[in-house]
Amino acid sequence: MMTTQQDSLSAAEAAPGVDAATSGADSAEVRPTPSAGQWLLSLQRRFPLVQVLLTVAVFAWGAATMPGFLEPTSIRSVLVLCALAGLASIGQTLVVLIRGIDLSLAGFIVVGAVTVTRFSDVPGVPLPVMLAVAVACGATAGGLVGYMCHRFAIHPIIVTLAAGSIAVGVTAVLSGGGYGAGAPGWATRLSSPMSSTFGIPVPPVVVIWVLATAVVSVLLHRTLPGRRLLATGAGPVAADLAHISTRKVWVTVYAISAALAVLAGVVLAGFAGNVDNRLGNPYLFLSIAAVVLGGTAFGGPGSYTRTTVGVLLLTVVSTVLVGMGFQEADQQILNGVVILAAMAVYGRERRLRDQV
Amino acid sequence: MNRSTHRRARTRVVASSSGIVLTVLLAGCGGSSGSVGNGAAGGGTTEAKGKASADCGQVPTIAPKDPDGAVKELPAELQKAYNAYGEEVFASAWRDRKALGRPAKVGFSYLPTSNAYAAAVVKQLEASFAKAKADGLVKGKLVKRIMTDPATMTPAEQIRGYNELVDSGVDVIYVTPLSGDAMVAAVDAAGKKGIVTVALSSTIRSKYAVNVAENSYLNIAEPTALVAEQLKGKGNVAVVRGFQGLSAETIGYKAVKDVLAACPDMKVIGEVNGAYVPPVAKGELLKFLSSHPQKIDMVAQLGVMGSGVYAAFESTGRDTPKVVDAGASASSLASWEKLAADGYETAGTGGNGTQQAKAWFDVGMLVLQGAGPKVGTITREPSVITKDNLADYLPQGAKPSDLGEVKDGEPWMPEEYLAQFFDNPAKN
Repeated sequence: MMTTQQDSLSAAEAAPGVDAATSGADSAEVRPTPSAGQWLLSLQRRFPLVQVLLTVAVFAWGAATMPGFLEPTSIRSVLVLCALAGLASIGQTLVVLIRGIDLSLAGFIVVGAVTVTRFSDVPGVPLPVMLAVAVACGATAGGLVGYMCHRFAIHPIIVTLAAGSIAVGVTAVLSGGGYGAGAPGWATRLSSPMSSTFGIPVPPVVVIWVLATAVVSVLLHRTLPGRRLLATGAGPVAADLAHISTRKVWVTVYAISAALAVLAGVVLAGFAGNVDNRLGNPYLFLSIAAVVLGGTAFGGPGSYTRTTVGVLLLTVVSTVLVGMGFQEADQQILNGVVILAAMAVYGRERRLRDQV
Repeated sequence: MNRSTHRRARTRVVASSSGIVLTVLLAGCGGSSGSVGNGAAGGGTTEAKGKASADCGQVPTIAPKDPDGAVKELPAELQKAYNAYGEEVFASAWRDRKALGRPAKVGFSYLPTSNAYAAAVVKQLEASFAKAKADGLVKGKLVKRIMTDPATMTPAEQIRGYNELVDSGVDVIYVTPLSGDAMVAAVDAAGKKGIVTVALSSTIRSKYAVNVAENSYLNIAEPTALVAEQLKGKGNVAVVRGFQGLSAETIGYKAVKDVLAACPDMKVIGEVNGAYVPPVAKGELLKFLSSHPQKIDMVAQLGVMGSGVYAAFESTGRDTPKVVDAGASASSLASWEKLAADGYETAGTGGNGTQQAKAWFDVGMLVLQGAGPKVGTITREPSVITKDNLADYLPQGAKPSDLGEVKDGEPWMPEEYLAQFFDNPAKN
């Protein structure tokens, strides 16, 4: 499901020796066979080949050098960490695809986490109702963020930063400064590496992540709203001219991002066991890094599947680094440099595409 | 796209793709930092004078940095609390301060109330203020500058709020600094205006600050030494570090190094960064455990992350090692108790926000009443938790998922203890 807006571009690039004047009905006869390098380049544009190969290479390195790395429990643990980061990155992917960024992610994660720990036993109000309320509130706040950014042309960094702070503050006020009695058992089992799903020895959170990847990919690339979203990111002016309400897209995407962050907070609360308002912080940077490293550029092209590859690469690399005794500073340097390198690839590619 | 443009694009993509590969490989070869076990230098600017030497299972004796001789003036029993204290202990600029003679206006600068400890501190400080107001010691409202977002807070933001308190005309400011070093200049400036600063938890190296703090070194060293003794000086150790760069973390790390240096048969097999956040500690430990199948006998965590350590081992089904439970919580003690039925034993340290905030407020009032602090930093020997007194600290019915603090256990800094640090405590 690596479909991007680049299909037509790639098709044109597949025949570099043919100019517009000579192309036509007989173009198939004169089109030279693309070289292996050109084919690989084309593939890299449509599929994060380098990232996948790196993930496999680092994983193999870990397996070869670290005893126990291939143990089922170890692999399940790594998959759980991937799934948590992946679920937290869905909204960020969508937002980046419309040229935005979402720094309120950490705040809305806390909203979801506190809802499930603090308000799970409110008399007369079942937890699903409380969660629905939290998701609705998150979506409303997110939609407001999207509206403000689009209507007043305010950079999303500013508005989402403020929205995240407000979300954490309002949560603290509503919960009376407390964070509840811990996550319920079902939430904890979701992300326990030792849990299974319908008898299959795969933690439920991993299954949820796989399903979410499929659903998001289909919605993004095989539905009209998804294509409107991609069109808005690829060219806002062109999208407006095509009668796509880009404001509606921005409002919807930020609303979805906030709502998904609230739901991610529920899962993260189960993993953490107990919650404080720093719970979402690590996932803010991780989500941005995964999106960029996966190869999704601001405004596209990109896809959530690419983000999943970014998540896998980041998690496998950090697991191997931790296993080899590397320190926090080393990992921070790595994260920063990897993002720069990824931007060097995909940031440039976007500029080139804009010149076509 | 014409041919030359395509060629340039191809060159760029190939070069940049190579960049990603090189970046990852170079980062991977960038050199791992020294671990505790290999004798890497640590401590940085907080290196205490004196040599850390002791038998395995014993806490080293290191003379505190006492440039003014203030610690030496204290009773011998109190001096023990300053063993290996990580920062300079100055004489207080407020020793000869006269009593204020009127109700004081009070300012409060604090970090985000992001956990049960912080919430308890704020609640108790407000309660102490209300009581002092009823007693005629303070007036008006407690003027607060509490940061809201732990993700974006900075020392600069706190200093700005602190200076606003100074400008508002307060007589005393209660502060828990995000960075003690960053606040020195602001505290000095306020002190020259006659404003007393009383710091909790972190040390501000200014003669105008009265610091009320645990001894960060002993807080880690004492339970670590006890656990090393329980293990008879043998076994594999993993270290869970806090927020690296913070003074208390550096000192705590040094304490682990010093204690384990005396145990040649205890091998540090790795370190992870838990950032003082239990879920982060859990996640990082899961990565660590994925590549370390060998038996781990001790996890030395540098404070408040015990619950995350227990959760990591429980979720993987591996045997839980002895967790050095410095800064224990209800959650971590509940996990400990759950394992205790099978003979599990470890050690930790107690203390809670309510106790600490009460002592904190009392110290400020004593200074304003002209009691004359003998020393700029008031500390204590940590309350060590063992299997014998676990019940004193474990809240009734606590579960591993609980978020609360530990019970009072040993009194933290009761009035009679504080009185020993003042020339005229009876003035209060």
